[in-house]
Amino acid sequence: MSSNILVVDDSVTIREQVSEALQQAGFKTQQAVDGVEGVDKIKAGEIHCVVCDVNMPNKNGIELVEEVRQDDRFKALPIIMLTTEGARDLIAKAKAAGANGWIVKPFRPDLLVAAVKKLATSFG
Amino acid sequence: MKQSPKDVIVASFRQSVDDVFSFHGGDETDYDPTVAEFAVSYLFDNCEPEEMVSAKISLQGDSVNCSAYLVAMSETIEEVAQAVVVCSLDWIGELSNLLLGSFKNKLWEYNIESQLGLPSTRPGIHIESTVGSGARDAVVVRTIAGDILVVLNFYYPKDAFWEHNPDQSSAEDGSVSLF
Repeated sequence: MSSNILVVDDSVTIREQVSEALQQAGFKTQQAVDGVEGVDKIKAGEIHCVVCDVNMPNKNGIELVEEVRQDDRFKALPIIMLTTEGARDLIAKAKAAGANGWIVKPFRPDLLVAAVKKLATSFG
Repeated sequence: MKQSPKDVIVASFRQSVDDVFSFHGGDETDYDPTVAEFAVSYLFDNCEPEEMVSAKISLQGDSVNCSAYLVAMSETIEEVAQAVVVCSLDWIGELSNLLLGSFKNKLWEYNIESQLGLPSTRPGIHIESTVGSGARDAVVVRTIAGDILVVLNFYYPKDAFWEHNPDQSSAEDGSVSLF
């Protein structure tokens, strides 16, 4: 059974580019436009890994990680941040919140897929 | 080595333009300020607004305040992505996000902290034409699909000096870290 990956980004182009790369690698994907929708889709279940932007309206990526980790069902859910942010202190903050990875845009599809493959197979 | 904030901002901005557009289809960039300022005037006088798309994104901090504007023809933006583009308005917004995100990371290496805003996009030509007490740098990015005008309006502390902190390196564009 192929893993189901949730792509959370306020840019529809990024969501489509990430989804296409993952689908070509054999994953199923869902999309969310911001952290609010992202949390809702995670709590609806059947998500094996999340690729999530940081700077988004309504609820940012780090807030999404913090909220999801409060739910015991999702303490081990792999969450990879995909963002323009590269400051080490912000990366450390995301790690402390419970994120499992950090990719700085612009992303290389092969590296993104490799990171998802490594983390998604360990969940669910 | 201590540098003037203006020099750091301009150098970081231009490097960010190079970084983003070398990845996303730019063949060369023209930093001639005469060309860039001419391009601003040319756009307002000669281009059909309905063919154009614009993005604005801002960066704010205690020591720096700036806004970047990207303007190009809609079809240029769609073609430079070299990947699926659902909407040129969305993609020019994401390009502005990539640009100022990269710029923000470079400023962080000078201990300059700032907050990146969310991009706003509109059809047509939208650039703040005056900078008041601030400064401006402008670049024309030449791609095989057409030109992209990138303008940075910025405000900085006039009496300060900034110094690069070799211990404060940001994660590289495209890097992957698994914890």
